[in-house]
Amino acid sequence: MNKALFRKQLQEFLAVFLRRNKKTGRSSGKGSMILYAAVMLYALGVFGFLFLQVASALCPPLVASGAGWLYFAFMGLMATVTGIYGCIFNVQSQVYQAKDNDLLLSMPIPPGKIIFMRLGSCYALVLLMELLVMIPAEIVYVMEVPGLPVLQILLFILTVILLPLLALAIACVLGWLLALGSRHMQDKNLFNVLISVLFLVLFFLLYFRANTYLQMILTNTASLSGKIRAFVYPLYKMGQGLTGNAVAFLIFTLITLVVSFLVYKLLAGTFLHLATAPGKTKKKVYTGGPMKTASVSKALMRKELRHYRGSSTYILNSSMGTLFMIGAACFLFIRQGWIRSEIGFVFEYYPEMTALVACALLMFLTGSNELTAPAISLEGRSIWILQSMPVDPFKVLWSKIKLHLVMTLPPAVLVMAAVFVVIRPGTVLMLLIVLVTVLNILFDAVFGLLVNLRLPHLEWNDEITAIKQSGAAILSLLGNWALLFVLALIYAIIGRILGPVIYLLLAAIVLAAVCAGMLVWLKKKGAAKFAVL
Amino acid sequence: MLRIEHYTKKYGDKVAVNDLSLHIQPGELYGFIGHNGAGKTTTIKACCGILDFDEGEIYINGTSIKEDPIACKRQIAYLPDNPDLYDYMSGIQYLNFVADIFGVSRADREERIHRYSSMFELTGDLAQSINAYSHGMKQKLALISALIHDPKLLIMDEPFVGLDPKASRLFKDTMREICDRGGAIFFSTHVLEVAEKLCDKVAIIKDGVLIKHGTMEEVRGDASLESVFLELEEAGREGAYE
Repeated sequence: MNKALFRKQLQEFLAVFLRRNKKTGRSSGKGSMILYAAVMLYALGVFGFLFLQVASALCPPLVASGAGWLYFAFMGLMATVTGIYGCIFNVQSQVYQAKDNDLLLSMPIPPGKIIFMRLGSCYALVLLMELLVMIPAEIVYVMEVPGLPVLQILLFILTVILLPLLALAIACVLGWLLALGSRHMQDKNLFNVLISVLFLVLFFLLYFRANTYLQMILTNTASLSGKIRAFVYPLYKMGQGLTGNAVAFLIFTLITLVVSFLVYKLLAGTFLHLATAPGKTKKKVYTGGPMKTASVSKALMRKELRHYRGSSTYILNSSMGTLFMIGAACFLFIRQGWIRSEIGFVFEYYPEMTALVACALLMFLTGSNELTAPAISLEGRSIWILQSMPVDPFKVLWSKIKLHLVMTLPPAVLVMAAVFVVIRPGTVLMLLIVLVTVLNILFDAVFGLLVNLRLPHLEWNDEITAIKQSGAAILSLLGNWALLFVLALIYAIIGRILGPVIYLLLAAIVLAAVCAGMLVWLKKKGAAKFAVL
Repeated sequence: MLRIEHYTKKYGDKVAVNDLSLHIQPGELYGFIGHNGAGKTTTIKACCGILDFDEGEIYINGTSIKEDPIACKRQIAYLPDNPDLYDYMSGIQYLNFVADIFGVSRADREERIHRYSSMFELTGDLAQSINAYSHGMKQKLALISALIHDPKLLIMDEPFVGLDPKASRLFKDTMREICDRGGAIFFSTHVLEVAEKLCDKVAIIKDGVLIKHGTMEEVRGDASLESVFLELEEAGREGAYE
């Protein structure tokens, strides 16, 4: 039974990455897997590098002052927080909202085993996120303390296996509370979005004040040690263990296993109730009233907006760029004086380079929105509705592009205005930046949809697999990065000869041509493909 | 109304439906029966333009589904065997969405939604999210949405699954009314008694091949539809063993 459940979970996980040939039923081969692995490694490399910087700043002074354990405790804390943030909504979606819960519960499988299997994939995700922090931490430590005993390496490997259990246990409790709390909410999605945004704001506040906190750690080592010991005792013991105290490591192991077991028992005991009981929301009764008619385009757009508004998973994973843009705009508007006083001279001496960098940053920010990459997969098993209706499939595809534009263009305009207030480029450069950024937004929307048409995943059990873990989402993000890379490369080769105005103008023409080409493909071939997906 | 000519559909090397031809006239209630995996859903989906096919032609009121799928889809309503609807909409939002796409006027949609939702006792639940609907309620909503634009041709895959006896009875009456008004209905079913009592004509498909079709009398003769169906199934199996 365990093997069958594991195989089912693995198949579900892999299905989102592989394209299945409708005619032969075979899935795409090793090439796709290698490509996805390369993309994932690249993304992990980028985040790993960021944590390497933090580890490099913390390790030498703490080790020198004999507080090596505090270094590991702090890195462990970061790993745990990252792991919790990365999987808390996966826990809720994959454990409590999976569409096959009823099917599995109807089989002679103890609920505990279903929970165990579901948590297995969440554990893998937390492990991945914790490795981003812990591997750089160990690399810096090994370099700082030469001649480390093999035991330390072994204990580190054990830590890497155990620590995600702790993060997962906390994420599970929070996810369980969210599931419990949201059952009584009339608007569960709004509740989930607000909670997640709160998490994100806290995360970024910590991130932006990282330097201050690092200084605080280095200057207040003694008082911080006491706080770590009091509030995150397991991490204190983990830190001691990783710096050579075997007994402390055993205590850390014991605490982690006991906490994980207790949380597992709590979830297993309440799973049946939480996964199957209907929410206690008030029933709405239809009382009639006049109906409004709408055009086909409007009806399709309204449908897309309802889908977007109705799924916190979709909002949180596909339109983070909107939040980033609003945040960046607020920061730039509020701190414009400070920014200009600190680095205003750069804007004065290098106005053209400043404009190009600003344009690249705007493209990167707007590229964080990925509403079209999962848009077709999200139709899921209800795709028959649109397919069987008398509507041009291109109109359906266009409504998905429009959703991306509606959610991305307004915050993009806001952040562009903020950037222009700060860097004050000339009118021509300003217009060109606007043009390139807007075309980049269109490129992201059309490219995402095109990739999703090539890699649709309609047979999902929970939305998050179609949104967060699909090949289309990864490739779409890669497309945005690749575009930025190619544009930067072209500038490095011929940009200086052309000058920023001609360069941006050419970039806009090329982008417009690529977008037009992709739209023509969508209209001619993509629409036909969508009609019979 | 619906003309299927030499329809053939292959999945890779496997022939799912082979050279199937059928003609459904206005006013006819046409049953489509066969064992699981016989090719019923594959045929039905092709008739609705949501599955491409390798050979043959399908015409809706003289228009080829391949040449002008949108014109064809305007005249039909399709109901799959397991209607997955938009969970993020309420019942009334879904019905309005379908009505908007089919261009149903305000007065017509108000009258039809009121008529059919009262008939299926779903009016009070229309403000609820579809997510909260039971399987039967979803089936009723899908039926109402299929009837909202007054289609000339109804194509349905196992339409009675999930319906309670009362709703089932009411829907059968509605099907008859549609055909009496000159519409046509082509539907698959496993419930042979339903097909026998309800249909004017019936077609039996086995392993992708149409083995018998015609009026109920032509197909069953003096026997029951069930015995004819089982006999044909048995004959096919013996043929396969030989």
